[in-house]
Amino acid sequence: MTAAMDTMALGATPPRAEARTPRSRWLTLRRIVSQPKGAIGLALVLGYLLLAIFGPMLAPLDPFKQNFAQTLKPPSALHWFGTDQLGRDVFSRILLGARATLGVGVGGVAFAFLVGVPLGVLAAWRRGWFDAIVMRAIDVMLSFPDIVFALAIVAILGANTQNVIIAVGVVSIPIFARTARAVTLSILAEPYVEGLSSLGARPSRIILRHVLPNISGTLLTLSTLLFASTLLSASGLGFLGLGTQPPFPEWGTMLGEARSYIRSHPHLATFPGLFLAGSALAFNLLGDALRTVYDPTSRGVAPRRSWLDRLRRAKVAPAGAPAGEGDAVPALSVRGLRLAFRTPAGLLEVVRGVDLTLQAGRTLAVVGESGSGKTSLLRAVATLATPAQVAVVEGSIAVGGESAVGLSPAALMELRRRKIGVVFQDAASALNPVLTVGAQLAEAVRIGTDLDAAAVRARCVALLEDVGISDPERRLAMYPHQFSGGMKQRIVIAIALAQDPQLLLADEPTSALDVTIQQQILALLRDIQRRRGMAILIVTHDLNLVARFADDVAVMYAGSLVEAGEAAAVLRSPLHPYAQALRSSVPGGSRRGAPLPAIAGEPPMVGSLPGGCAFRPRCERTRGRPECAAREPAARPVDGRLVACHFAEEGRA
Amino acid sequence: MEKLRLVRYAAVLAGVLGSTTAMAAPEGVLRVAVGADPATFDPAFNDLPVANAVDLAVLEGLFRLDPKNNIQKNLATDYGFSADGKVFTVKIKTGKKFSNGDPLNAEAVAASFNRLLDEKVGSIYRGLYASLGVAKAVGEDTVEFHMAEPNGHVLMLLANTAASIVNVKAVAQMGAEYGRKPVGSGPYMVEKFIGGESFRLVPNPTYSGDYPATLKAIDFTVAPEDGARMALLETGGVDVVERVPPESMPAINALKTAKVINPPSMFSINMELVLRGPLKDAKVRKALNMAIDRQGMAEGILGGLGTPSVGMVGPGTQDELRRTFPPIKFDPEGAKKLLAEAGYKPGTLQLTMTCPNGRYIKDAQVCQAIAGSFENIGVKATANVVDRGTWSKVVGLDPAQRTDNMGMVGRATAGMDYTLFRLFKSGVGANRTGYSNPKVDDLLAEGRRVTDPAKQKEIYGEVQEIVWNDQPFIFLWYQTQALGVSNKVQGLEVQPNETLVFDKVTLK
Amino acid sequence: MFIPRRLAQALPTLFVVSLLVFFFMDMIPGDPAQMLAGPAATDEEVQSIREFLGLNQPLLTRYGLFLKGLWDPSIATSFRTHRPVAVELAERLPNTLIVAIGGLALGLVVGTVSGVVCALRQGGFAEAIITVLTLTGISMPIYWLGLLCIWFFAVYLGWVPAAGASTPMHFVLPILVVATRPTAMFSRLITASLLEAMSKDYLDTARAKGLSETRVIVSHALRNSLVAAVSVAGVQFGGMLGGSVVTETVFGIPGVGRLLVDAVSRADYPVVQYTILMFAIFFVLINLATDLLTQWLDPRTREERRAA
Repeated sequence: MTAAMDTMALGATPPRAEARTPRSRWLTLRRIVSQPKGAIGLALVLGYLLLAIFGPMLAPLDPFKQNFAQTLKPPSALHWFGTDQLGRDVFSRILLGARATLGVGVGGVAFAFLVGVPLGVLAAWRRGWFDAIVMRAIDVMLSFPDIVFALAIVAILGANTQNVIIAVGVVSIPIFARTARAVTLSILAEPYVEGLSSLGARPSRIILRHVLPNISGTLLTLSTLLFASTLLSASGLGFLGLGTQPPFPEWGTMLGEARSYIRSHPHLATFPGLFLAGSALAFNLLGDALRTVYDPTSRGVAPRRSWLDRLRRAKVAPAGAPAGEGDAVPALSVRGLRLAFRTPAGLLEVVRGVDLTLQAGRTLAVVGESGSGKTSLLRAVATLATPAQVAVVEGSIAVGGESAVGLSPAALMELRRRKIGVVFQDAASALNPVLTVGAQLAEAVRIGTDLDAAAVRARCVALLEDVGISDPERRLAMYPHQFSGGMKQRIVIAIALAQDPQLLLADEPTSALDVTIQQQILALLRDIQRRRGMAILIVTHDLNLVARFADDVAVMYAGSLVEAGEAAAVLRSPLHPYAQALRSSVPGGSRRGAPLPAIAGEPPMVGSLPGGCAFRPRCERTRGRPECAAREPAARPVDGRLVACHFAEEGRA
Repeated sequence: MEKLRLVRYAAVLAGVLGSTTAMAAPEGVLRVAVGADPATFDPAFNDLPVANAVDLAVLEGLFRLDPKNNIQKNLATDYGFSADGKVFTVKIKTGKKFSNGDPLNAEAVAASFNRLLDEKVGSIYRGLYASLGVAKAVGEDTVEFHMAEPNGHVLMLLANTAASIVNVKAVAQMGAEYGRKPVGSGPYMVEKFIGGESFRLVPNPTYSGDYPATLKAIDFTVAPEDGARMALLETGGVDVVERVPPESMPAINALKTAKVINPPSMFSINMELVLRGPLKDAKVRKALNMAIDRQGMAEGILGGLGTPSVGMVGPGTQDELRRTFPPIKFDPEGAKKLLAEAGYKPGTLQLTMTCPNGRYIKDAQVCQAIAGSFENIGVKATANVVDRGTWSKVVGLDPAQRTDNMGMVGRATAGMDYTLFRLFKSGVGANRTGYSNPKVDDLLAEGRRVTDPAKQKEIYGEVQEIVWNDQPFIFLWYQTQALGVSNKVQGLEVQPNETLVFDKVTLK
Repeated sequence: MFIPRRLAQALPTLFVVSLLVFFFMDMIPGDPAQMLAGPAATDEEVQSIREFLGLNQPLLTRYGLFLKGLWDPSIATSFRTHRPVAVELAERLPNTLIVAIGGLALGLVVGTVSGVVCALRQGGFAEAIITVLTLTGISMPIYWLGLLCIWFFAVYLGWVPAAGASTPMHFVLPILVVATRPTAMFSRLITASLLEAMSKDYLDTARAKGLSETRVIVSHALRNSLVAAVSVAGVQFGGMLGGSVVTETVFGIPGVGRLLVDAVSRADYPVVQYTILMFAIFFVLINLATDLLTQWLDPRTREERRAA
C-alpha cells in the first residue's frame, strides 16, 4: 500500500469535483497546458508514448545481437548508450524496452481500473452485504505491504511481463475501488441524483449518465498518478529478479541487471534509470496538472505578482493626511480608495474611488448586492486583503489617524492588534476547529502584552462574560464545534474585543444566524459600543438591520458609493435610483434578513462596466438621457447626504 | 615516547624469540565482508562456504582438507578398515577439550556422528553420511564406524566440515542457539553473532593443536549487495571481500591498498540435459556442445572468472582420481552439419532451458548467451531465467516430469564417488538427466567397493572418459573465485570449495 | 472502549490475512526440503527432510500448528536456523524500525518546512525548485537512488560507511534515502492543505488579532494541515516497512525486510508466513494509531466517534 496509497491520499478529490468539471475536453487540455507542469508533463508523456509506438522501428541496431568482443563498451558513435554485458546495443534496447515498460504501467493501471472502478461503483450503489464484502476485502489487501503482495503474486504465477502486469494491477485495485466508491457515494447523495432516482430513472442510466461523467476527472487524475507508481513498483520487482523475462528488454529489469555495474560501467544503469525516472516524472507532472484542473480545493493558476504591480503599489499615497475635521480624529477615514484584483489578465477594479469617514461611537453600514465590492472594501480596511491578490491602486485608509496602507508587516500587526477588531460572517469558519476557544481567545489577549497566564485567563473570562457567555471558566476548555452558531459568534466578538479596538469591522455578522439570535448579537454589539465608545463598520445587505442598528449608511454599487448619509434619512427617502430600488424591494415588516429580492436587470460584471453611470443599464430614470452615458456621476451633496446621480433631485418624493 | 618505543622493541623481540620456542601471541583483527548470510554454523545444517570457513576455524574434524583439498589428519592419529571393510576404526588424540571445558574423547566423537545420522535431528547431510552406519566409542581414544555399506571414500567424507565434531551435550543445552555459537575444539570460537549483520571469532583459550589462532579476532560483516560489499573494501572498511563480481575486479586492482586474488574453484558449471526426445541423439548433444564459445563467454561475460571445462568434475575434486581431456572446440559450422546429419533442418529443433538468477557468476546472462549461441546454429532456444525456488524445483524434478530440455547447475561436491555415483548411476534419485549406461553403472558400483587408490584411479578415469564422450551435459567451465584482499593480509588461503582458511593469516 | 473495539474489528481481517499468507506460501513454487538438500540430493533424502520439517502433514494440521505458533513461539521455528521465528524477528526488527521511523521523522520535518516555503512563495523560485525536487524524489526508483548515494557519499566522499548496521553512522545514508519519498509526499501535502487553509476565515481572525504571519501559519494553518499529514504518515510508515524489502538489500541492513527476501528465496515458510502476518498486524496498529492521533489533533472527530 505504499506508493499507491500516497497517490490516494493526494489524489482522492472531494465530491465537489463535479461542480467545476470542465465542459469540454479542449477546455481541459487548455487548462492543463496553461500550467508549466502540465505543459511539460503532457509533452513528456506524448514523447514517451511515441517512443513506445515507434521506438522499436527506430532502433538502429539489433537489440538482441550479442557480441562477446564488445561487452560493456562506453557510449560511442556506433553505440550511443554503449553496450551491455552481452555486447548488445543499449540504445536499441532502450527504444525497444519502451513498449514493454510503458505497457506494464498502462496494463497494470488498466487492470486495476477495470476491476476496481466497477467494484467501487457497485459497492456504493448496492450498499449492504456487497459493500461490506468489498470493503473487507480491501482491508485485507491493504494489510499487506504492496511490494510484498506483488512479489507473492509473481512468485506464484511465474515471472513474465503478463504476470507482472497482473501483480502491479492487483495491488492498485483497492485504491481505485475505494476512491470510486467514495466519489460515487457523494454523487449519489446529491439532491439532483436522488431526485432522478425517485422519478424512477433506471439505476444503470443514472450511473452511466450522471455518476461516471462526474467521477471521470478524479479517476483520470488518479490513474495518471498511479501510472507513475506502478512503473516504479514493476521496476522494484525487476530489481528483486521477478520482472520481465530476459532477453526481452524492459527498463526496470535493465536497471536491475545493471546494478552491479553501477560503479564500473555507470552508463549501463544511467540510461534505463533516466528513462524510467523520466517517465514516472512525466506522469507525475501530468497528474499534478490534472489534479489542479479537476480538484477545486487545489489552487488554480497561482496569481503572480509582477514587478510592475509592486511598483504600482509604491505609488499609493502614504498616510491619508488626517482630514482636518477639527476636534476629533475619525476612527476610520477612507479617501479615494481604489482596489483591484490581480488576475492573470491584469488588474480588475472592484472598488472604484470610495470616500468614507466614521467617527468614534458611531455605526456605519455599507449595503449593496453581492459583488458590489463591499466585502473587498471591508477587508482592505481590516488590512486583511492579501497583497498577492488585491492591489490598493490608489487612495488611502487611515484607522484612528494612522495609515493602514503600505505598512511594514510589523507595523501592520501592531495596527491590527491595537485598533482593529473583525467579526466575520460565518463564525463557524472564523474559529480554528482544532484549538480550544480558550487558546484562541488567550492568543488575542496575550499578544503585545506581558500578562502572566493567570491574568490572561482572567481577562478571557471577563471577555466571555462581556459577550454574555455564562460559565466562562468551563467554556474556555471547549472546542468551537461544541458551541451553537450564536455562541460562536459571541466568541468571535470576544476575540475582536480582546485588545479594545477603536474600530470594529463586521462582515454580515448575523446573516448566518437565526432571527432571535440575530437580535441578541446586534443588541450585544450595541451595548458594547455604548460601553467602549468604539466605531463600528458593518457590511450587510439587510436594510432592516441597517434601520435598527446603523447611524449612517453607505449604499454601494459596482465598487462605488452611490448614496451615503444618515441611515434614517437615506432609508426614509432614498434619492439614488439604486437605493430606491433596494428599499422598495424590502417589505416594511421586520422579516429576517433574507437575500435582497431581485432588482430588475443583471448585477454588473466587474471589469465590464458600461461607460458613464454604472447603474445605467438597470436604471428607470435614465430613459436614454445622454448625460448618463457620457460621464460617471460624482457624489455630490443633496438634501444633507451624498448622492452619485446626475438626476438625484428627481428622487425626492 | 622513548620508553614506549623500548617497550615495543621488547615486545617485538619477545615475539621473535617466542616464535622459535612457542607460538606467537594472536595479533590484529581481520575484517571480512561476505555476501551470504549464514543462517547457522551447525555443521549438520550449514550449506554455505562462509559457514564452512567458520566451522573450519571453530570446530575440528577427524580429518581436514588443506587449501588444495588434500586430506590431512586432524583429530585422527591413525585409521584403518577391518579386513571385511565393514568396520572403520579411527584413533584420536587424547586430552582434547571443547571450548566450554567438556572433554573431547571418543565418546564425544561418536555422539557427534550419531547425532548427524539421527533421523530425528533432520540433518541435511544424513543421506551423504548414511554409509557410515553407527559410530561406537571404544575406550578413550578409539572410534569405530560400523558401516552400513562399504565405502572406499570414507576419508573424503570425514574430511568435510559437515563431519566436524560438535559438542552434543552443548547442543542439547543450547538448542538452536548452538547454530550461532557452536562449542567446538578449534582454534577460534564465536564471540558474538548478530543475525544478518555480523559475527566475530576470537581465539579459543582451550585450544591445543597444530593451527593455533594467529589473530586477536576475525570480524565478519554480511553485505549481500555486490556494490555495497565492494565499497566496504574500497573505503577500507574491511580487509577481505569475497565474491568480487568480474566488473569490479579492475576497480579493486586499481586500488593501492588491495588486490584481487583468483583461487581456483571446484564449481563445475554445466547445462545438464534432460536425455529425452532430440537430446537422446548423441549427435545433437555433440552439436550443442560445439555451438558454445566457452572461451569467449568466460572472458566476455564472466570477466575471466571461468576456465573452459576439460572434464565433468572440477579441479580439487580428489585430483588424484581426476582425469582431464582436450577442451571441446567452438565450431558452429561443424555443429550445423551434425544437426543436419541428425535430421534437423535449421529452425526445426526447439529447446528450452531453465537457469537460476544470481546463484552462479552471471548465470542469467550466460543463459541468454547460450540461447543466442543455439540460435546461431539454427536451434530455437528459450532461456527461462527463474527465481531460486522455481529453479531448485525444476532441476530437482524426475527427468520424466521435466517440461524443459536442460537446466543450468553448478556442482561442487564431496569427492569423486559422491559426484559421479549420484549424477550418472542409473536409477539414483539424484540422477536428473536420466543418464543410463550399464558399463558406467558397473564401474561406479565397483569403484565404491574398492579401497585401493590405484584401482580407484583406473575405474574413475574410465567413468570420466565415458561421460565426457557421451555428453549428457553441455559442459561449460569451472568457476574461478575472486576475492579482494588488502595488502595488509598475509597467508590467507582459499579451498577450491570456496572455504576461507584462516590458519596462517597474519596482518602487516 | 474504543481501542479494544477497534482491535476486535481487526481480528477477522487478520484471520483472513493468516489464511491467505498460509495458503499463498504453499502455492509458491519451490520445495523447502529440496532447497535445503541441495541439487545433488536423492529423492529419498529430500523426503526424509520433508518429513522432518513436518511438510508431509495434512494442510489443515499445518495451518493449526501455524496458528498455535502465535502463542507458542517454540514450535514456530525457522526451517534454516531452527530458532523461533519470534527470536529472529525480535533481533532484526529494531534495525527496520530505526530506518522507517528515522526516515519518516526526517521526511516529516523536511517535508513540512519545504511545504510551508512552497505555500508561502507561490510562483517563486523556491517553489519551482521544491516542486522539481519533490517530483523527482517520488519518480526515482529507490534502489537506484540508494546505489548512487552509496557510491557518492560512501565511496567517493567517504563520509559514511557503505553498508551494514553496526554503528549509528551506518543508518545515516539509508535514512536519508528512504526519507526522499515521505519528504516529497509531505511537502506536497502540506503545500496543498496550507493553500486550502489560507482561504479559511480563521486565519483572518488570527491575523486580525495582530499575530505575525509566521505565528498565523504555524499555530493555525499548519496545525490543521498536520491532521491530514498524520494519515499520510501512517500510510508512509506502512509503506516503508514494505519498502524495507528493497532498501535493506541495497544497504546491507539486517532487518525484517531482508529476512523476508532471504526467507522467500530459501522457501523458509515459517519465517515468510509469520513475517507477513506481523506486517499485517503492524498495519492494523498503524491505522489505529493514526486514528487516535487524528482524534487528538482534531477534536471534531472525537465527537463523531462518540456519536458513532
